[in-house]
Amino acid sequence: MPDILTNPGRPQGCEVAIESVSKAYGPLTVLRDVTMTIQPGEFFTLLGPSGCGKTTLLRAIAGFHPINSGKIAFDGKDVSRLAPWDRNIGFVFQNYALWPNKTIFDNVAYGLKLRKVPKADIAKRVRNALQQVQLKNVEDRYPSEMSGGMQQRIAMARALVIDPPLLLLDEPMSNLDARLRVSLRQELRDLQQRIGVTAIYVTHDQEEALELSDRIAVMHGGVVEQLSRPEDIYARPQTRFVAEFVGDANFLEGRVAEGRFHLEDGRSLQLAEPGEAGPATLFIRPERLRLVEAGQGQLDATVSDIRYVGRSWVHKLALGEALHVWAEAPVKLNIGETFGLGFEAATLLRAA
Amino acid sequence: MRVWRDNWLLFTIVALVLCVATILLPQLRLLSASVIGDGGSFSMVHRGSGLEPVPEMSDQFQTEAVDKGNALKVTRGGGFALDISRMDRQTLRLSAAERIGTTDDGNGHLSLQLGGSSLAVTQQAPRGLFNRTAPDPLSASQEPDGSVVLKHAANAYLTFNDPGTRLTISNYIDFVTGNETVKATLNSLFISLSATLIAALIGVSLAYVVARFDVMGTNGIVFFATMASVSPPFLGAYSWRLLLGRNGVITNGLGVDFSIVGIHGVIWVIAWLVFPVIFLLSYSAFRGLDASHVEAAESLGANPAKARFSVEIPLAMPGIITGLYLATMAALSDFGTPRIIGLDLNVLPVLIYTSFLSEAGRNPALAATGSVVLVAISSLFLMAQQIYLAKRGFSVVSSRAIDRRPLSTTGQICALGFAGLVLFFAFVPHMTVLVTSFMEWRVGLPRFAFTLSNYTNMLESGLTPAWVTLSLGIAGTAVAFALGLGIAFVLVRKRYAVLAPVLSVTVMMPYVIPGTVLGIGLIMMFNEAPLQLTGTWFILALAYVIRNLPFTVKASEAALRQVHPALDEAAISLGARPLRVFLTVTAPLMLAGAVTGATLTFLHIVTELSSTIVLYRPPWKPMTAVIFENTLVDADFGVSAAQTILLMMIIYVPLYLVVRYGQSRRIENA
Amino acid sequence: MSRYLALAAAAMGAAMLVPATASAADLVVYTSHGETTSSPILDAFKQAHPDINVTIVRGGTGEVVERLRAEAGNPTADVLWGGPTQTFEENAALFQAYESATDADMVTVDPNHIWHPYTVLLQPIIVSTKRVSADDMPKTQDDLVTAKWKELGSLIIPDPAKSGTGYTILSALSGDKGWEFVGNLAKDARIAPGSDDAFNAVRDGEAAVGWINEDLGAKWKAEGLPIEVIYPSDAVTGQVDAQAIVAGAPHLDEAKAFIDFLGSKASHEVVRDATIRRSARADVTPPTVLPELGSLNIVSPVDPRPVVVARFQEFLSK
Repeated sequence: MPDILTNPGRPQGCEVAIESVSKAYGPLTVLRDVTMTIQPGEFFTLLGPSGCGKTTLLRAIAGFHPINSGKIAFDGKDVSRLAPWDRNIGFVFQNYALWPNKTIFDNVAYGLKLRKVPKADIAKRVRNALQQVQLKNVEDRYPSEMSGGMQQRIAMARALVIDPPLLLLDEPMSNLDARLRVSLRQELRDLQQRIGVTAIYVTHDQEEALELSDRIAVMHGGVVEQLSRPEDIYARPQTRFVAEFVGDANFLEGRVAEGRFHLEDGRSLQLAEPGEAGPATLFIRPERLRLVEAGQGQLDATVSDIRYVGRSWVHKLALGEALHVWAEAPVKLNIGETFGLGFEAATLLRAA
Repeated sequence: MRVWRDNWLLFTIVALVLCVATILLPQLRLLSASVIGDGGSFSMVHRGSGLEPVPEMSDQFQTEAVDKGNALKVTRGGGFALDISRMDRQTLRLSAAERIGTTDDGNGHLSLQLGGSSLAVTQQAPRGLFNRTAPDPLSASQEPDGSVVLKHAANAYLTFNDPGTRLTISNYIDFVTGNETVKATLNSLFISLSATLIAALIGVSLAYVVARFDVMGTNGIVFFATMASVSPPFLGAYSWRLLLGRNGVITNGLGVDFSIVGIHGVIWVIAWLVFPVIFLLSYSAFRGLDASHVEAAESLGANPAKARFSVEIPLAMPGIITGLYLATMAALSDFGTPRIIGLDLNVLPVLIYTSFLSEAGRNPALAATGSVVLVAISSLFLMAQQIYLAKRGFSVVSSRAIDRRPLSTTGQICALGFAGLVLFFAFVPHMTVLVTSFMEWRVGLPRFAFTLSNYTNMLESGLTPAWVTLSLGIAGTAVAFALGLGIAFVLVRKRYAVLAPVLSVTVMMPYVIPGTVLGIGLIMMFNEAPLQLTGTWFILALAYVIRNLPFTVKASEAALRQVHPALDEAAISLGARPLRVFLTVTAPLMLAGAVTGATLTFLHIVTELSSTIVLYRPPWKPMTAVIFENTLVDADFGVSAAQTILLMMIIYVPLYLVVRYGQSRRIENA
Repeated sequence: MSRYLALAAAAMGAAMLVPATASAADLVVYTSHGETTSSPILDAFKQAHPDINVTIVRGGTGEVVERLRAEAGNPTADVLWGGPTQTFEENAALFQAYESATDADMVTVDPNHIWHPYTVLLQPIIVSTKRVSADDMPKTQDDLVTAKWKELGSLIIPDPAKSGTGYTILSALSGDKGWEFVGNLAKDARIAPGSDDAFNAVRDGEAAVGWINEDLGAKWKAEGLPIEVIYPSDAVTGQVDAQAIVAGAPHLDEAKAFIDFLGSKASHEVVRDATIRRSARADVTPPTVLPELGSLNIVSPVDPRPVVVARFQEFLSK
């Protein structure tokens, strides 16, 4: 990869192809036959709860974990057997992993020194990289003197200064407080777009994933549950797990017959796209559930509980003895009032 | 080949081979020496008064008088039978059912062949003090009838020895039935346990007071205890004997009929030798307690005394137990103290040493057997400690340090008085040596006259021992530390199947091998070409490295666990290869936390006595050996006192620097 | 990696050479003589041979002999100085013969010229006056076999297995008075792991009575220490102290020079005057503070060492 080192222009992000990758620790399988292709320059997120295999996959791409089977290729070149130090990637760690005994300069310059970049160029490139992450005049300081947000930026600069075609980020914001996280997100996205590096981002925070990503792979139990654009993940989850993990959701069990969705207690409602007959789960986001006057909707329900969430009120609406849905409304309703519900925005999930 | 690509795998294999060759094999060699016996021997004395068997010097063979004073019959299991009868004052006839063969190599090595075995024949004849003639030599001649005529010196003892070897447990049987050996074992156990008990009473209670109450000068107390923990091991015995021996300065001054020489003195001195380690470990255990654990007990109605015994001490127990274990081990393997202050008291390390290194009572089999027994006892102590820790294997992770309770003025005075008294006793030897180094010494006793001659004598007689000590200390520390870092890295981060666990066990073995035993094992192992290392600087360095390896590996492991693996991976992801990652990232990070460990290793090496005394040969004679020998031989102690002061400077200056500056730039880790 | 290995190997190799070169000009002497006994002679030798640098290794006779045995084939020592003649004879293979011109001047001689006599060393009785009153002083060896010593602090015997002096005393006494006598001696005695331990124990009053090398006893007496030195009227044990060249000595010429020096009349006068020892040279008179040999019944070792060690061991384990 000498061209990357000498070429003053930035390299393009690379394509990452993951083919049938499996990984097990003894009897415990953590990745099952994972296949995906990440486009050059794409901001790609691996989203899922802890233990879903997302970090393992990221570390397998970095080469920290050898994979048991399958293939990982950068721009068509198989790197599955390549040592991590030969993969030329940028990696940002959850805890930043800044070396506490080295100055900020020495931290950032480390990769350049390994690449035998001339001294004068190192200073210039370190300064540039720090500028890219909005830091100035911190070269002589030590990581322990920096705030969490600054450490995160330095870790980013250290990963990017070597101009990697691929940037891997392992929950880099999870140790930051909520406000800082939101502002850094946008910065990160801008930076990635500006550089054009391919980014693979691991998080369990769905908000972060939806805001940052070009595409998201939702992982669960070592497999990819859904790989789509953020809006599809949110609006059209393909599995109940995805629907549940991303955003809030109402589920109603029942079956489709004669073009209508029948609840278990016998009531039924009309759907825009009922699809094939058979058992199905009706899914609708609380903010998409339409509240109308009693009798005007498809089903009637009574307000039984109210929660204030800041931007709106979320109401628990009882449909029957043990059946209820949550609905979001900009105004506060009264307990005991009855409303009609409109399920126009609902979709159906079917067991695979 | 994976081995060549993976530097760490290569290192692991090399380290394992070295450890096996220098740690495991010498111990196996010792073990085999303890279960191998020679083919047996028998002796007789032939004087004017007749021919008599000497049963004390017979082994395996039975000798009985057939015709009292004139003929003997020698038998051994397996059909061996030999008849010996006297012909004249210096001639014997040896006959058997079969023909007896003789060989004589011309150098006075005579041997007989009989019944499938070969018997070496030697004679020992008395010689008058002013006699100018040598005893007549031994010679054998073959008779036509198959018998042998043996000519020997007048009044000679004749010994017939079968040099063959056989597997036997007789050494162990002798060990457990022998008066001396059983006594030595019981003494060792009694001394180590009672000294530890006394040290524990002092150490744990002082640790509790200093850790839990706001005692003035806590840092000073801890520092002095640390100083005491690295004192030269023989210092206490000599000084206490000088003060409280029958002819001691204090006993003479007060005119009391008392002597510290004896088992009580050994226990007393060893208790002060080992109390610092119990104090330091208990102190850090008490300091490591989490405030909320104690507060929880208090909120449930426990008063301080109740909380102390129901919560604080039980939670600190793992640390205390580790301290007790280390103290017991130190007490059990201490060679210097019982040798100096025990007089006729026999303990295992001294028994092993004297039966390995003595002029005539030399008994390598006994030394080997004693070594195996001592290592077995140590291992039992280790197992007991490990079982305890496994059962109660909790580690208190302190999230909030416990506040020290304030003390009333009276309380403060009591606490300081207690600490002062303890430290005073711990430093009596140091003060004694300091004072006596400026005193005039005559015929092994100090006189009350100030002089600098001890120091000028030391400078005149050369500082070679100081250089030997320093070079061994520095080189040994460097090697032990480099190896320790590397091995810890393999054990913590690499965890190779099979190799890593084996390496881990091998490297920890010296933990239970007393210095004397380690030294003897090394001599047995490295006394022959091509591995002839005995008598060199290297065998001392090797012994010191091995002895400190468990310690440096443990210290490095602890330091390494503080270094988050992501710090390594960050370097890898930037393109650094494993060795480079280790050298540029991991090692520097560990180093910061491990300098203290290195210093302690250095201090252990420069004060090491028990393996030194077995292994050293000129010109490589470290200070500890010089000082120790001078305390035993009739030399005057003055120069030794001066040398001890020099040794203490070598010890305490680095210790002070580490304590003073070592912690100042603390590195936060991820 | 290979670069580092090569460096390490080079460093090891370089360090290996150091011991060999460092000892080139030295004469290494193993000795059981203490500092006070040896330094006057060594100073005199240094004056006579300023070019030879002597390195001294001290230890009990047993310890230094054991070192020689361990080093056999690759000796670092050139001379063993000190130890009774029996020690040299029992370990003859460790030494080499050298016919020094001075051998003929001695009161005794080794026909094989392995050892070269140095001094005649007697072991009178030493008594601690702290423990023993003037009335209780022993006058003969027989007096040592009484129950009273146990109350007063015991008789202390250097273990013959670990001490050459211990061997000399016990072997000579058993030869003169029989093994039963030694058995009675051992019954209530304390056993010291070395002769120096035994001497010092009586000096300090840790034990009541024992034996001592007469030169040290005379010195201690002169210093006014609380001891009494008694030459028993029935028998006094003695040994001839000797020296020998180690087989395969690395500095043979220097070793011969040292042996010749130790045999010379000049050095024996130093021996007599500075160390209060009886010279083994027939032409050097004994120190004035020591009694004449003729007035004493000198007994010397009879039974060989292994016999003494084995028999004594038997008594102890009873």
